[in-house]
Amino acid sequence: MQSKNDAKTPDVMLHEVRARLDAWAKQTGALEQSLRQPRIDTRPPKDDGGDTKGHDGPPNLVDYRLVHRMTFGYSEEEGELFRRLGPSGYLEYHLNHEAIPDDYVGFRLAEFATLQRSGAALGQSDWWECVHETVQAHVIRSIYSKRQLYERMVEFWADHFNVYAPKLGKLNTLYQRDVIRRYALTSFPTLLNAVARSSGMLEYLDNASNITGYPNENYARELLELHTLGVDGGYPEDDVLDVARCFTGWLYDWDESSSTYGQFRFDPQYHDNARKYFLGIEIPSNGGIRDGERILEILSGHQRTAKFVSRKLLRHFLTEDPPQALVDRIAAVYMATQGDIKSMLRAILDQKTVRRYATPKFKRPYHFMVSSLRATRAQVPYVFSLWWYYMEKSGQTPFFWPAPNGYPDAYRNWVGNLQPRWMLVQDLVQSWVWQVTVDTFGLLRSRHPQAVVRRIGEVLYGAPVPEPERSLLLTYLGSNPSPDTVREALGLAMAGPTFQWY
Amino acid sequence: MSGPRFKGCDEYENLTRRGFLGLGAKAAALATLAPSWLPNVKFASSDRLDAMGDQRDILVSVYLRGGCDGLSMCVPFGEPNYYAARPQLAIPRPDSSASQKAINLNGFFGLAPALQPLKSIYDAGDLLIVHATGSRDETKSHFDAQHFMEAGKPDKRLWTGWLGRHLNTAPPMSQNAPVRGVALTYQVPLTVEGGPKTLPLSTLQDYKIGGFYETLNARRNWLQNAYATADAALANAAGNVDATLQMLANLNFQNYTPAGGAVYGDNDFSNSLKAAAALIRYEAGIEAVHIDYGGWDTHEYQFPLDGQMAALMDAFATGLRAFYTDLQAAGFMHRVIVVVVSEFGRVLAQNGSYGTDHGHGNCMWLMGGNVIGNRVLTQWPGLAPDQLFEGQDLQVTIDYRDILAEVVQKRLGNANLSAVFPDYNPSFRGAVAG
Repeated sequence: MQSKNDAKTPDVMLHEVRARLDAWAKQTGALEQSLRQPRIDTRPPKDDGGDTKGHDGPPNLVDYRLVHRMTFGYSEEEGELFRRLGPSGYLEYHLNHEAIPDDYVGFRLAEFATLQRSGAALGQSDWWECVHETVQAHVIRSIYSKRQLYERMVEFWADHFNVYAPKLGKLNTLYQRDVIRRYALTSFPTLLNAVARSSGMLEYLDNASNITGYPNENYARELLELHTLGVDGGYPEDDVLDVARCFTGWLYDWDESSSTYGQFRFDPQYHDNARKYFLGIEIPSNGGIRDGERILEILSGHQRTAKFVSRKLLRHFLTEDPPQALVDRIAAVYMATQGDIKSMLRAILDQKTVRRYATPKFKRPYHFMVSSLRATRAQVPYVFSLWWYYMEKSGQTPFFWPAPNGYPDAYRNWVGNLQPRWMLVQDLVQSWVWQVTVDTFGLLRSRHPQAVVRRIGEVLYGAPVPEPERSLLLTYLGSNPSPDTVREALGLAMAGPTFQWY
Repeated sequence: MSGPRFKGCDEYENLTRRGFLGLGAKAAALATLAPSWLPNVKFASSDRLDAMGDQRDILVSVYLRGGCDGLSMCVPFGEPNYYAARPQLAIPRPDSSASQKAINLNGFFGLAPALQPLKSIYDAGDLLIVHATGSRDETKSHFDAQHFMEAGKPDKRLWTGWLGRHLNTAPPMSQNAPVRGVALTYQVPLTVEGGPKTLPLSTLQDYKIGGFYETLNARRNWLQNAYATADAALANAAGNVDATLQMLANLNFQNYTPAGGAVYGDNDFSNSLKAAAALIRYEAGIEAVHIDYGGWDTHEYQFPLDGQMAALMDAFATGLRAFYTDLQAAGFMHRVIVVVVSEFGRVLAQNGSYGTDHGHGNCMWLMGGNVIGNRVLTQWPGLAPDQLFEGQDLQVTIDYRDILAEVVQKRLGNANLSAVFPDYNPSFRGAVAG
């Protein structure tokens, strides 16, 4: 077993892309054809169709837009993968996430003792240790995982089925591992059912105290409003109460000394067995656990759920305000595939669709942080410094959004708070964020102003830095910049307006 | 004007004013100057804005996220139905023999014992409680209810806040102010959305942009140039960062000393109020400060005497008391008004887990020198089953906008109420002077 210090670094990993790619190609076989003539030039792949007149956004992001959309930030390594595989090959590579080797992340996560513990062992674990380790592991994965699309989907579902780690403590370990991460690329109904039976959600939305005669409608309301139909989902207020009654007795084992701590259990004696109605459908009496299951079935197969989930996915990957026709198209895929998540992603991240509909998206604070660390191949041996130094101040720490709607995904919510971003990247390039280091000269390989600015464009975007930032950087560097000035130029480029978007 | 007089230091005052000009290297050079909260440093005069003929109040907007249980805060102990509906959660009458009981206000309403620190403010006439108020919209969704209340209209397509629109339709108190509105939060909350020169400030102490001090000015200039051609909202945000850097460097919050021996609590709400007090006393032209205080969604184990609700109320009262003492002693309370709202109240009856679910009518709290206080302003609808909203909740008999609109017009000097509260004709209730 390698020690942590021997673990492969991101810099080394870059040189291993080809080897891993070959291994993966042999496994799948599907893309051998495209790999037979590997293109290792630096030209972006040919456009394979679509309307390029639409919203192109910052021009430097166009060529590698799919990389920018599917990952937590461009890296030269991903750029090379994209060039070799082409748009559809790149998408399939990432959809087949389990086949992508992720050794470095494996080594890094080994230090977090609570991550793989059973419920029984977690019952005996420290509350805050569990919370801290789930957050740290999430950050490590976002930065270093090769399974970037998968991690972006984990992020999406963690928002969609939001829970609040400080309320859940050790249950968050189970929830993130056994629900969100396990089912992130399966189907929506699978995920919805797993969430409904998770101790994490039952605790977070108080269903653990929803019992016959004393209904607590917190979970029922968010199930309809935030998880499935949407707030305009066309259900009357009375339905919320009946849905709550359907989920009475859906409890979990909260005894920390129990061998089944954190496991779902249905307790018939706390279930309301009287008849209920939902959306005009009768839920007959004496249904027991079938009542809640029936509700989940109705919701999973509902057209409004398909549209609600599709719209959110499109927002996440393509554009803040997706046109209705596109939403309907993705919803049709949902309906045709019983909510198969990979099928929906194939339709959304299809190169033509991306070219036609993607508009510039403002990075949320967490995305911004991770993208700066990825682009600069930062060494992050310790996550806590990023936590208190940046994530907390920026307003986005994983699993720390208290309300069930998840972190907002809109420009207007985040544009007002640039200061933590400027601070992070300008300290980062000096390696002043505690224990986080960046080898600027290993990255930029030059002190010549023109070369520095060209390399900055390559590592941040895979394309030239756009004007006016390019000229401004050259002015800042002058004719003979000192090493400090070169570092500052990289920091400024990341603090500048273009790098706030993807 | 009864504020402490600071010995003159013209150089400092002069530099401070120039600092407000905001952008650029000249302003940045001032960042090293350390105005301190020691009394031999002269503030920009407390009389300055008054002397300019501007008598408007500075607003502190407090939002209790989650739907606070007003029935546990301002207790209708004169209502037998309150006690019938809450066997384990009611606060005993003031005349009961219990050790923990309501503090009598007017023979019908009482304060929760955890709110004792507010009683003397109430007695002094600077605290007004409005009861059976809130939004008339019937939603019980936090998100919709918060949206509607913050927008000032039940309209999900309205993405600006009432306070943001007030700032947008009122002339600035100070033309040179780098910032007019501050939200002591990580993001801009909807309440202040749309306000010019309005930004979130999570903490005053740590507002820095990193890098070498020696090159700070050059990098600030670079960023302003780079953002000058960006999307308008982004360019605006960048300008606000720079102006705020300058203002906070001069403010020197680390050395802030509350006046009057005020003791703030060691929690987020108190920290925010202390920052609000510093910003107000510094007189940089900030007109509105917004504070979020979360955690009021007490579905379980609410217990207002010794549980969750007691802790929430204790921090609430301690913070407001310290803020009042601080600004009163510093001579500012006559032109500050604090308004406290929450999206809805909670169901009259307790639920099966010693908590309360989302309800309807609630309390609002107003504190300040121009509040007509020492009373509970209400058109009390009663708590008998046939008097309840949808058979379970306290009714709303005073629309929250009646109160806010009166504050906006009389205390913030903005008569353009149709912009601040579109499609609503408020009835003033005599909550504030003016």
